[in-house]
Amino acid sequence: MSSATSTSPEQSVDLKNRWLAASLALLFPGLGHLYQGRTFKAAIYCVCILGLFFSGQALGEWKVVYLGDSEAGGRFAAGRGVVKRLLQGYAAQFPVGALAWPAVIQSRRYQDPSNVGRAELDGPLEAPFLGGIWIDTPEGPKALVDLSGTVRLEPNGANVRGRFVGTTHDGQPIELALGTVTDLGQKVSANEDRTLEARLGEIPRTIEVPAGARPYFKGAIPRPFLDRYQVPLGDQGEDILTAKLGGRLEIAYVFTWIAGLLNVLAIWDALDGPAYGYGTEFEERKKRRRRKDGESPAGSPDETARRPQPAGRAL
Amino acid sequence: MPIPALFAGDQLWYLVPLTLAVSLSYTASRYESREVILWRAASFFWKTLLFMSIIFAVLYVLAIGL
Repeated sequence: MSSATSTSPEQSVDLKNRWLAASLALLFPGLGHLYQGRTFKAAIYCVCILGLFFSGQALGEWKVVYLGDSEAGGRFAAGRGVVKRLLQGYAAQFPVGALAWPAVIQSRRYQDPSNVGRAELDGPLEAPFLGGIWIDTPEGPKALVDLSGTVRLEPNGANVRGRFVGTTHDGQPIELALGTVTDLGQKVSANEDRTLEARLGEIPRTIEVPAGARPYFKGAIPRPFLDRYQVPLGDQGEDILTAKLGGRLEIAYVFTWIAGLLNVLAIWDALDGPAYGYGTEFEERKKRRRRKDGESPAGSPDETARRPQPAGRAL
Repeated sequence: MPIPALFAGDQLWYLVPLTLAVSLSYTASRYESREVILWRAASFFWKTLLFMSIIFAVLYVLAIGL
């Protein structure tokens, strides 16, 4: 492809390979302009667009960039409901570039039929644990003792077994052999915590268990960042986040949307040059006219009347 | 509600970086000259904040007594 220049008569902008520049701008804000040697604009786009994108995500606890929701689960894969899901905001976030694109992969991972809460493991797992020993009572589940420590799980045939090492809420060391794991939350989810529930073998005698009660081990392990970043929130997750952040969540979404929309302007600028020209045309035209005419002083009523409007007056 | 109390909440302050980013990026997409971009972005920024302040003041006055 041949190089191109913007059409400004006074000062042209070398756009080099404009389609490559536009592609780079789409890939990463400012990269296309950097390729074209327009470093000042590259810096503006990079700082402003990525600043908005990342601060928006931080405001929304890194949960506001995602494709689709749980209600529409599976529709994307089936080729239906795409427009509905895009209109939920991701269409505006997508142009930010490669930093927003993992959401497409995460959406597919999240909606994969195998991504359900279950009691299976692909391999050994060791993670910090926060939870406790619980019993069921007529009034509902009740914690006998709070625990924090490390849990180690490993596949055991069709089941999962493991061991917990840590301390109780009053600082007493405790070690527990876990029986069959009955529930292990989804591998991929926007929630930071992955639920874990298991039967218990023997428990220390220091913990008093009411007669007839069957204690069980229940709590959560942290979900790795890559298993929760840009993963669809789902209806419930969105409700929880809204209740927690209130209006700040809306601002977080708006920041990421506007970041994407601003990059559309940047992509267009990389492809076609500045919309109103170099910006100094008016001054140059005025100088030329002065040199050519050599008479009427600038700002005289006559000149003011026929003065061309500077490009971008619409601002 | 007194006006300072309205600003005590963090939400209105988010408008400032948002407006700054929008004015810089938008103006950068219109012009090429560094001086023109900065000058017009500053103008865009203040005009936008002024406009939003006027809207805010109008809404605030209308909300008195509600």
